[in-house]
Amino acid sequence: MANTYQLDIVTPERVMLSELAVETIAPGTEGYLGILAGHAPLMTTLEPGEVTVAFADGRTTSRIVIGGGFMEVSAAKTTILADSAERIDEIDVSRAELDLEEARKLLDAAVLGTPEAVAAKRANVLAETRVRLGRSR
Amino acid sequence: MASMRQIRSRIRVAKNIQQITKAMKMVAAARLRRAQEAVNAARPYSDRMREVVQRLAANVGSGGIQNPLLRTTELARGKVGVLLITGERGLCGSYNSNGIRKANEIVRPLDVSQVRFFTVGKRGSNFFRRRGYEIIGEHTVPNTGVSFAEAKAIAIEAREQFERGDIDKLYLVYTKFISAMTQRPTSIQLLPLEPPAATIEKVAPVDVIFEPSAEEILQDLLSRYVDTLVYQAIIESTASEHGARMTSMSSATDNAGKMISGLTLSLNRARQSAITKELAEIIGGADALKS
Repeated sequence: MANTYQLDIVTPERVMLSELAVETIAPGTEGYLGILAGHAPLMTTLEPGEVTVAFADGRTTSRIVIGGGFMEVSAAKTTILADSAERIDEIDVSRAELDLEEARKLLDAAVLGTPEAVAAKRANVLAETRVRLGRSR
Repeated sequence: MASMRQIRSRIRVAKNIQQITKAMKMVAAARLRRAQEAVNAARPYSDRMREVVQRLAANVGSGGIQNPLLRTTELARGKVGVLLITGERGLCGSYNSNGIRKANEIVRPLDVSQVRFFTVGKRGSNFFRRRGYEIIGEHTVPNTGVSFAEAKAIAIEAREQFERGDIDKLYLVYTKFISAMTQRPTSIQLLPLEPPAATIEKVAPVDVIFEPSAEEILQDLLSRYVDTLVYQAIIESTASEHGARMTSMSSATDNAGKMISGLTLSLNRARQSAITKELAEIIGGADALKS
């Protein structure tokens, strides 16, 4: 089938997903971007956020929260190297809320413009996304 | 010859020890399996990561990469950092001492004040602290395995020392996991990062869209690459430790078994000779009465 491609989502701890996909929407550094089959070769860093995958059977989709990472799109396949990845049905909402609180505190404490502040900001975005998606499922 | 009672108590002791070593072996085997799964699960990520870094390096072109992690100028007058990964506990054959020996090879030609240690595991840090080395960061990892986030925190700590110019080189000493029976202590130079050889595929770079630029992506990926290497080293070491413990406890159990059978044999001999002696006495007594 020409309108599908191989999608791999890999974290250091496991191969999260390796399937044929129709469309992937990922949080690129310069905004969310959608990948369809036949997309031009692309390399981009990813921000913490939500990845939505539409699978080749045309019906099921999967929503995954990633903690930032990297995506490579080539003619044959697309690979996402994520720092962390969680399907939204795996999210423990109460823990995610605790993480969010923690992240907020760190962000308040961090001095603007330092690497710590950047890291705190990312952690904050990740925690927010997890809480939001965990609640919405 | 030892008395029967002494032999019995020695058998009891050997049996107790055997039970303990057998239990430790079983625990180590279970943990080894889990650790091995972690090692296998991490492989796809680090393989892909290496591929991508190589391809990117080809696109950026040699000499074009400016990254604090590639710095080769000496700012800290030859100060060296060593990230040493050992275990928390002993009773695992030569696992800890091999790792320590490997680290010692790096450190020996240098002056004590030139070296800064980052350690994972108490064994290594205790050894080098006693010898007056400076231990900057000391970490413990749960022996059920380390998460990537924990490994990353350790890697960042060491990386920052390098980026700030407090050390000029960072070595990573860990134990490579080959199989449950063989583990190889290994040391590599982690920083400055060897610019990954772009010679592997000298294909004309395809027209690739980079978001942001190739340079920026490479910057981002290089630090991630270092974190991945550290994570890989830690989980391999954990697997090695459990493997080493399993093998050594297995042979300890065998040895205890041999000891028990040897002792049982001498117990039986002692018993027989005691019976023989008693019989001889009785017969002797009876003969004496008869005559």
